[in-house]
Amino acid sequence: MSDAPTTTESNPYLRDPDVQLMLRAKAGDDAAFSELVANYQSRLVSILSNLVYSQETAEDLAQDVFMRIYRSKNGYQPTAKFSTWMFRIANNLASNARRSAGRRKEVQMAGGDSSGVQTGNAGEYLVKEKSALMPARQLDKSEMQGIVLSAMEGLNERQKMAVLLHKFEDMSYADIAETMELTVPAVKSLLTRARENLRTQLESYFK
Amino acid sequence: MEKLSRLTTEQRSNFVAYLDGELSEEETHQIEQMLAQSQVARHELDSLARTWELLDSLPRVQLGEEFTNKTMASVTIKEQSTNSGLLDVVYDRLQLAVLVIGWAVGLTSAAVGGYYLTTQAVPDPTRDIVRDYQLLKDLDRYEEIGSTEFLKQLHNDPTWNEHLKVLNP
Repeated sequence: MSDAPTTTESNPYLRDPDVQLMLRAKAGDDAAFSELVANYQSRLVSILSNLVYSQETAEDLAQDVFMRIYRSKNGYQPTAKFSTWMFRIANNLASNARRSAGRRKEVQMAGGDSSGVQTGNAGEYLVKEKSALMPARQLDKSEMQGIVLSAMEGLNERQKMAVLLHKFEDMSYADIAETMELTVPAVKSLLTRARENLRTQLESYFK
Repeated sequence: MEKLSRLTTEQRSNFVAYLDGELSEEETHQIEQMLAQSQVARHELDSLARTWELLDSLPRVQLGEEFTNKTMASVTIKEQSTNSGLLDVVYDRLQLAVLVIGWAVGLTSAAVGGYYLTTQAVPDPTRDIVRDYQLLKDLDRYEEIGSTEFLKQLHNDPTWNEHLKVLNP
């Protein structure tokens, strides 16, 4: 991140409490960094697990995100909201992980190797979620969850990320654009196409 | 369904942005006018809104203090090992620099010492010849004369001096 002004008047990001925590972490306060981890861990893993369909992989990726942030703290400059900066790192790492997993799948099909980061699919993820978290009385809800997960699987990666940032983080188009390094009109178009696709898949369930 | 196709792509896109509160005041007013007049538009908006609500059922993860502690332990240990790795690299490079400087100093000293030895310490027979060249050049004449007394007498002889003046006016 480049140099930034240091007063709240000239730099609005300094009003972000998470930016303040990051600046404390930069000054050597590990407790402040721990507070950032606690604030974001569930939000980050929730988004990542809906991208890679594996909570274990999502947790590993989240730790990698925090590791990168911690490593870069000495050169940190508040030139964005902390959340958009963090989710940008997460988006890049998740994309890399998916690409690596894709290549690994090709190798596995040819040679049978099964090491490294694993990404699943919506069906497998749902079975694990069901068995670990869902009591029998919530079956209807979990069935609906399976249908929605399958519909999400029909989206491309960028549409999925934009939807998750908007749905889970309540991010504005401008923040999604900054996180995903896109323009605001591109985000609008991405979300429109994603919502149209989802409606096509899910329309019959709310008629 | 035939009526749905009458909505343009931009209008559909604006429905989504309307639901997300991302339209300008003027665009919002246009959409609201359309909604008031068109059942198709209301249906479109309603189905998009319901689709969005269904996404509330997507799984969300709740992690506790254990994950925070594990993450903190992981990042600080990796940071320390990175720092120690960096120190090792710095130490190795320093060792290499000392070695290179040592070799450079040694080679320079050897060159300077060698030059001194060859030019100063070992006698050079040609050095004396070059130094005494003017004397050696006329040595045969000096030997013929034999001593400097004769030259002094000649120098003080007026007849000889007159003779020189005639030769070199």
